[in-house]
Amino acid sequence: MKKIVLTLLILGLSVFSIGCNNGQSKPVESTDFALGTVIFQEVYGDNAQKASAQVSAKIKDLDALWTINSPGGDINKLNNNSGLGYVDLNPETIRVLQEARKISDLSGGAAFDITVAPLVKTWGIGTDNPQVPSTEVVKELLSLVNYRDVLIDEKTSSASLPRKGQMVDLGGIAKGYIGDLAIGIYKKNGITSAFTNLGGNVVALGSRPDGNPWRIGIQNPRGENSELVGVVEVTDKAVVTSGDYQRYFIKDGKRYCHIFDPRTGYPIDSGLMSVTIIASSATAADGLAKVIVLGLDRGMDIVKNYGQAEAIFITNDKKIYVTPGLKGNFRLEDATHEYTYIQNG
Amino acid sequence: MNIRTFKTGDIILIVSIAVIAVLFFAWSNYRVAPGAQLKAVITQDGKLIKSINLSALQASESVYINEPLKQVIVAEKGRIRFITSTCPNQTCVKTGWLTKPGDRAVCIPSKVIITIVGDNEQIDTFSY
Amino acid sequence: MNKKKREAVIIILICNAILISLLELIIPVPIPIPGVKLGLANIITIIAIAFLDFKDVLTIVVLRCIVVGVLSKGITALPFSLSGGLLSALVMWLVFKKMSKVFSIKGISIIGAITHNAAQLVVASVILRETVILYYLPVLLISAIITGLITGTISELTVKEIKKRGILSEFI
Repeated sequence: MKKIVLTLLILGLSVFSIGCNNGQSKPVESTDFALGTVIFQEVYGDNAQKASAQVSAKIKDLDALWTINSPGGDINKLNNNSGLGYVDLNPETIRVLQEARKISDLSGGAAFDITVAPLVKTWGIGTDNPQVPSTEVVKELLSLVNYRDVLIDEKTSSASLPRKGQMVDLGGIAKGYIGDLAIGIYKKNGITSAFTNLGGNVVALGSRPDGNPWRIGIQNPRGENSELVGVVEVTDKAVVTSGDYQRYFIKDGKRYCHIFDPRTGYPIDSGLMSVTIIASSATAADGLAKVIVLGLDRGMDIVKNYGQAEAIFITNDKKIYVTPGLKGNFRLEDATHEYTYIQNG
Repeated sequence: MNIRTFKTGDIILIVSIAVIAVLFFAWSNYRVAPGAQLKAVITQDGKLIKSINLSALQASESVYINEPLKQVIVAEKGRIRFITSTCPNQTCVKTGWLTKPGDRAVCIPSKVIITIVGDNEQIDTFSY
Repeated sequence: MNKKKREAVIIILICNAILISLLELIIPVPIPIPGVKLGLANIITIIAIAFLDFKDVLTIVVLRCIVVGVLSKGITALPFSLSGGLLSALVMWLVFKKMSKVFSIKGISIIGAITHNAAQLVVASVILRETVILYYLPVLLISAIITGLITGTISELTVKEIKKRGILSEFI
């Protein structure tokens, strides 16, 4: 009896392992810690090792250039010289500032504004000592916020912040921008199947090695870490989510999240828990996800006006609004059965 | 220890408890379905520290991280988590137990990641 | 019966139980499983069972658990050690009074260790709402035999010695 069981077991296991190895070649997986988060890459193909190493190096370079959490780099230089005139910057920094401006223009700065940094710094959400500043302080800092103030001179590769105390933070766009650069590097190396996940911002190249689309899980905004609310299937797309759950603190029973409303200077309270944008450009997806600031109706309008993006909006009352273009690509995978799916438009 | 200082009850007790323990051990071992393998991978700064077969674990197993922060990871049958960490915001500890393929706990300050890998991953990656 | 002397003996036993428990924390445990430990304080419990009333045994166990809990593991561990300590004391006392012909002190000590571990497991399962913890049972049973034998042998020798010298004779 024992022998029979053992034989069956070994047979079963070998069939099992053959089944596994029958698939495609193993991917190169790598992990980096940069941009204040974790970055995963999964790259298939002959040059996968080389391509992922190049992407890692690029991410590290740009992180050093754009960080405001440690000294050095272009953005610190720009911020430290606010009110003092133009400073010379790396061409890559100039390009990302221009991209940021374009995305801010989509909402007229109402949803996304890279000059919101003085507020972010004072509130300190996500740091060890978050605080609720007084209305006077918020008002004063709010006067420094205006993305149109970031003056860019492409010819001399320089930029300036005209008023003392103004600050730029690329946190809302850097991950998307770098995601697009990563896809460019993969393509240059002849890769046709890969994805990179920059702290939750997913950028997928091509499809899975078995030809099926990539399956991207959408986080349940009130669930545990890595608890699904749905799955979206994509090919050659970026999937970026902005949520009020990523960093927040609770004071006097009120929840303050890390996303700011550039119009009020306060953390958002728009009736949305998360917004996921699916678009070809990761930079655009990252920027558009900030329409979480504006609430369901205005947010949807901006996504539709942009035209080349699909979206998943999750409201505080656990309704999931999905744009028509995602029909057949999004499925609810909600183990809690608390969410309702609503086709939008 | 002199065997003569034992009374009849002692011997019966020891033998029967030992038999119960062995039977229980065999039973709980048997209950692990073959094939449903759950593996946890612990990495630090992208380098593999330890890989643990959670399905085959009988007793709990601890992994100690000493640099740059002191952290304790505990693995039990079918699950794994950060138990303690000296990092400031404790996100890794608050993540709780990881039980399914794809579950992941991350400590950014120490660059330690625990991931559960398995065969039936429903998704490729997570947008959050 | 001398009430003062009885109280003094109880206090001495409590102090010894606390000291032994704290000393035990220094001894490294070869198996890294929560719950596996020598349980040397059991020696004191057995001495108390052999010479004192059940009420006194309870006093000694409760005070030892509280003091050691506060000094080492923290208050959160108190339900574990109290449940284990009290239940094993109760069972050992019953066996000692009713079944001394069948079990030697070594056997009683093993029974105490098993009860102790079982009670801790049940409490842990309730508090953590986890039955996974029952997988520890075989390991804890085997370890209870070994540690019970060790503490039981020491207790037996001590009890014999105390009886021989008639130190606590007036209580019996």
